[in-house]
Amino acid sequence: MTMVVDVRQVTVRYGSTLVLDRIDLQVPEGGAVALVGENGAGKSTLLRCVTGLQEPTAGDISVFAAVPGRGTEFWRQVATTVESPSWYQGLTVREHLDLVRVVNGGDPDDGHIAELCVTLGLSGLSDSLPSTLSSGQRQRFLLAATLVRPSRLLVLDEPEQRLDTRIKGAVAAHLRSYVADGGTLVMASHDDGFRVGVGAGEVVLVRPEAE
Amino acid sequence: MTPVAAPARPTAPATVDARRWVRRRRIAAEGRVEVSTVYVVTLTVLMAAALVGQPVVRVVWPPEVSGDPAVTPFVGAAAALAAFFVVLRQLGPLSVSRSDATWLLLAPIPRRTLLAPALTLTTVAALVVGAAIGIAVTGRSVSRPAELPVLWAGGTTGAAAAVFVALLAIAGQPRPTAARFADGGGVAVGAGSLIMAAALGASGGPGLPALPVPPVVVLAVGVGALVAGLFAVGLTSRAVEGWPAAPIAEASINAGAYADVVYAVEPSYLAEMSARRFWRGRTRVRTTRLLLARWLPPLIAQDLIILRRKAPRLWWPVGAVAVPVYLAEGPAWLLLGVVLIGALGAAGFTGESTHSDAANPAMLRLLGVTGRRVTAARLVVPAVIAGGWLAITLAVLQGLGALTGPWWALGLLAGPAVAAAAYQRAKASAASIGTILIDTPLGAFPAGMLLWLLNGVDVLAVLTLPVSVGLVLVPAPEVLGWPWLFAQAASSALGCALLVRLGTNQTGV
Repeated sequence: MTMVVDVRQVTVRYGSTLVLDRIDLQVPEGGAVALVGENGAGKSTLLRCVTGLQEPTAGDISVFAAVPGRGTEFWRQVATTVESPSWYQGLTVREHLDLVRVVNGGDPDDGHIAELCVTLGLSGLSDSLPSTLSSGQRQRFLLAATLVRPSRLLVLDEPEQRLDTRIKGAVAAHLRSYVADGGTLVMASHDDGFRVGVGAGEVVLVRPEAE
Repeated sequence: MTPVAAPARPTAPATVDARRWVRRRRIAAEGRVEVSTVYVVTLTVLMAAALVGQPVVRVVWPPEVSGDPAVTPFVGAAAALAAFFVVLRQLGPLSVSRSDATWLLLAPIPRRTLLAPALTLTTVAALVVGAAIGIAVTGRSVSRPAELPVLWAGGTTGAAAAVFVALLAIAGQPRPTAARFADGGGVAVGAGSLIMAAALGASGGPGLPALPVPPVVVLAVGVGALVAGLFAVGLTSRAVEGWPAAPIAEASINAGAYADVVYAVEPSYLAEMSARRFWRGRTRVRTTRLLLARWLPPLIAQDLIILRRKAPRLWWPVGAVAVPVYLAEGPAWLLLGVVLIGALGAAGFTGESTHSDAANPAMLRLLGVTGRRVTAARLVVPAVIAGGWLAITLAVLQGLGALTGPWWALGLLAGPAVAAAAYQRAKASAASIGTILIDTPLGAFPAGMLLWLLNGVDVLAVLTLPVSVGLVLVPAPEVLGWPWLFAQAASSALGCALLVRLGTNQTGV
């Protein structure tokens, strides 16, 4: 079976603080994995390492059989929400989604964006500038921008955060459908119900000093 | 039965007392102002007076008047008053310190006394600026030696006009929607007056008939208007009691940020803050379908959308076209600097996306496009704007007779070179240049100001050499030759090609 994400003996230290201690993680194509664990267990750190946005202190990581985060080809296949939020001043919510879809070769009028906006409760916010959104709306907008583009691997950091129950269920169904269509998903989550809804396997991370 | 006293209604403490208490605690903690601080401030003021005092006096009161009184000084005064209005609106104008905004603004103390210092400062600034404008107009309209009543008439009339401008700015503060229109009007009047003054200056302008009334009458009218204006300021101080807290809090945050810029010698925050404020005020934005146009690359479409939405700010570059006209007869180096910096400013009109990508390339990763493609696309709109701005400016100079030959074409060809410089400038984020400290014998100096000033200007100086050298070496009646155009085209092409080639490493994708 082809491994999309292959993490071997990865260790991450912040100064004298050990965050990840010789972690192994393999996710096959079409697989869904949820990293769970208490705050500070290293979930976000591991996701950042998988996207190549952070270098591990030791160990090897490969994504699509290559070093992660190198070049445009990697980012064409991988969509993530692990970075700090960013948007363009002066473009509306809908224009951001159109831009992401068009630049990635998708058709903005194929109904995908409209469907996602309904799912995430963004329909009434199409003309809003992202800087005027509330934190919860902004979270949904950035999730929509990540989901609207074609990708083979989704790396999501607590996608259920700040979502109400109805939208949480709809997002879980959307991610389940993404995986069913052959996409691969690695996410961090604090919500067991959401994880089950997505159909993601559980990988428990434990703070190294707590062992 | 023991009578129970009714609960006492809490009384509002006087702001003056609250402020005095805060000041006493601060002095107790930090001590009074140090002698060295007073020395440094005094020395700075004296040095500034010595350096720029004489030229400022000459601008306000030129030693002699050439020709008959003309309309031009009055149009210039309108531009100066419009600029004063825009500055006041940027500053609030009524604000309190950030700590007062946090601790006193929402406390049950009279807002009138809380805002009294800001209102007084605004009024005094209006009186000083207005009097200077009035005297400057008088200085350009009356023959020497000028009579004292004439001088007083100009000063008081100017001061009254500036006080009414300040009142307009204050009135706009609690009415954001109306104020946005007033802001647009202020910029339009300022830029329009600049252009008109330049045109009148170039053509000589119509003369003014002799004043039909004696100067004493003008003085009386001016004093009357000034008294009415100050009375209105007094009424405003009562009206602020009913203001909501939001416009005062927002003005205080802005004023605090401006103070930070001055304190940290870090002006690059200004552009970012100004952009955030501009977009926060856009309430009627509607999604366009330009991004879906198949004939237009999406990143260029993005810049065009931004350009269209920033149309209210286009008045600045349009008005700036007139500035070189004032300098056509001046030294070549000054004209050259104003022309190139003006073009750089115009090219930076859509630079926010580049700045945003440089600060956080998350959107670029989401877009999954190569750095080269992004760089190439982000150069197109600024190149057209800068080329157009330069072509018009150089054509105007040509029309005035300062230049001869195909200068407008040289301006168009220099557009991409200026766009490359603007791209470099937009990429520098406050975070990347603000933390660099230069060690000096007097202590560490934040290099933000120097780097912000020079950033991109180096690229501009190199890539627009044909324009610079041409402006110095080929003044009219010498005709600009075609080799200059070829040289500029080659320089622009080379600069853009190098920038696009380097784009891969710089965007991080």
